[in-house]
Amino acid sequence: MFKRLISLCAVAAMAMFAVSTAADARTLDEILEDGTIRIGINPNFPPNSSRDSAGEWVGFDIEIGNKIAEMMKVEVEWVPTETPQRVPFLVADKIDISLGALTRNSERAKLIDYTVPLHTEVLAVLTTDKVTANKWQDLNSDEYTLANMRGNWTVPWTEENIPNANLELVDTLADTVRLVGQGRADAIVENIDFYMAHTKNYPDVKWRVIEEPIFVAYCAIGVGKGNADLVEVLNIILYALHSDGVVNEIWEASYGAPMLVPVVPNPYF
Amino acid sequence: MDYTFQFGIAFEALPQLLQGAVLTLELGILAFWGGALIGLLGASMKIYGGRLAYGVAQGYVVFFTNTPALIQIYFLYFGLPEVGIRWSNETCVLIGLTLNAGAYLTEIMRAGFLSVHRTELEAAETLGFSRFKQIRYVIVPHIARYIYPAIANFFIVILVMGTSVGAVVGVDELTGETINISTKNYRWLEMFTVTAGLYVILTFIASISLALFGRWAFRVKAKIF
Repeated sequence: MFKRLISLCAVAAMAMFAVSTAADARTLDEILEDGTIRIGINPNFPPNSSRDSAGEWVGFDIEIGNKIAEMMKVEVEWVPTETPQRVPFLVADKIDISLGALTRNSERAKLIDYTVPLHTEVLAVLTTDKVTANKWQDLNSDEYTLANMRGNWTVPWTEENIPNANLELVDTLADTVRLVGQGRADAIVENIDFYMAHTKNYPDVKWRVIEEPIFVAYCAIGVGKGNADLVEVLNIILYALHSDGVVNEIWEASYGAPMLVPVVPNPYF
Repeated sequence: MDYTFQFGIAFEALPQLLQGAVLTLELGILAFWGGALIGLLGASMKIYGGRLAYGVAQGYVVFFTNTPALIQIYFLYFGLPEVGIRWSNETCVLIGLTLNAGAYLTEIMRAGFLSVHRTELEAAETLGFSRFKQIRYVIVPHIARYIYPAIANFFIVILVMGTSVGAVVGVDELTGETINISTKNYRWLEMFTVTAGLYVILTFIASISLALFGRWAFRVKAKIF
């Protein structure tokens, strides 16, 4: 019995060591030499990134990723990364860059590097006519359940700023909207632009957005820690894409409306 | 390597992780015993229940052993509200795992039923035992000893690990709690390393408990691991 236990502990220790190995990010030279850039995208994130009926990747992130690859003169390898996997995939060098509306924040910046902003996101409340609240602060009551996704930075924000509300966490945008659509939850406090596409699955639900936005956050491209050369190239590419209006054009084509708060391009990084 | 490990952050989260571990164990134990009762009923139906009962039990086993537990739980959690049934996420996970376990345990127990010596059953019949009394006094004690090691193993491998699918529908068991905390501190490697260790401890505790229970209740020398 104890021989087995010792063996098991040894195996577990080796497995933990294997799991706990962080890898160096591929350098710019290695990416160029390989001729392929590995881009992390959320597989279920319309209109940012999802598969069309033919199985092809489509959406804002896909267009941006293709532009970046074209300007770097490399091919793209799309790597599906769910929301909670974005930072771990960068740390483990499973991807070279992460799209997927990666919001800049200081905790993430301890582990990964960011480019300049790619787009903004406006934090607001998506709810239904069953909820009478007119301000996000009105949701701070245990009579309300808020739906969100594991891995979103807005989860700890909500716990801190709307502490009395209940939280129900699921894995995808579609599931988050489904919670509200089915009446399991009352509202979503998030960048609701990303969630609107899923509300059409519930045409009988009277969806509404609380007018007053909470605040604006900036989403950038995530890069492995210390990969300065790659960050510099991406910053120059993004400056060009912003200055030429390409980012906003792609955004409008994807979302059907202009970015609420456009990114102002700055030549100094 | 640029990454600097900070296990202190993960160990600070131990109280929360242990809360998740308790829920994991609760779900595992409840689903296991619920599944064992369903397994007993299913095995009885397949062997003694006639054609209709056999068909019902077989249909249940085929459906639940050929679809992933995750999809069954998804159906309970997201499918049933479309017909007006809205159970909590923990209830959906518990029912899903119980039904899933019941299907596998039906087959394990059926094998146990078939292992009972015909002479023992004939003796019970001679003594005038009803079918129920035969199951209660002859078959169950026999199969408990015969299949207990397999059932104990099933509990360890399937249920303690199986509970982690609950994280997908928002249940804050050990895996869900780990994801929640990692969302705040971004220390995924450290958190999941500590969680892996907790799962090993959890299965070790469950294994010892089941072995001791088996020796006490059925005089079965069940192996630990």
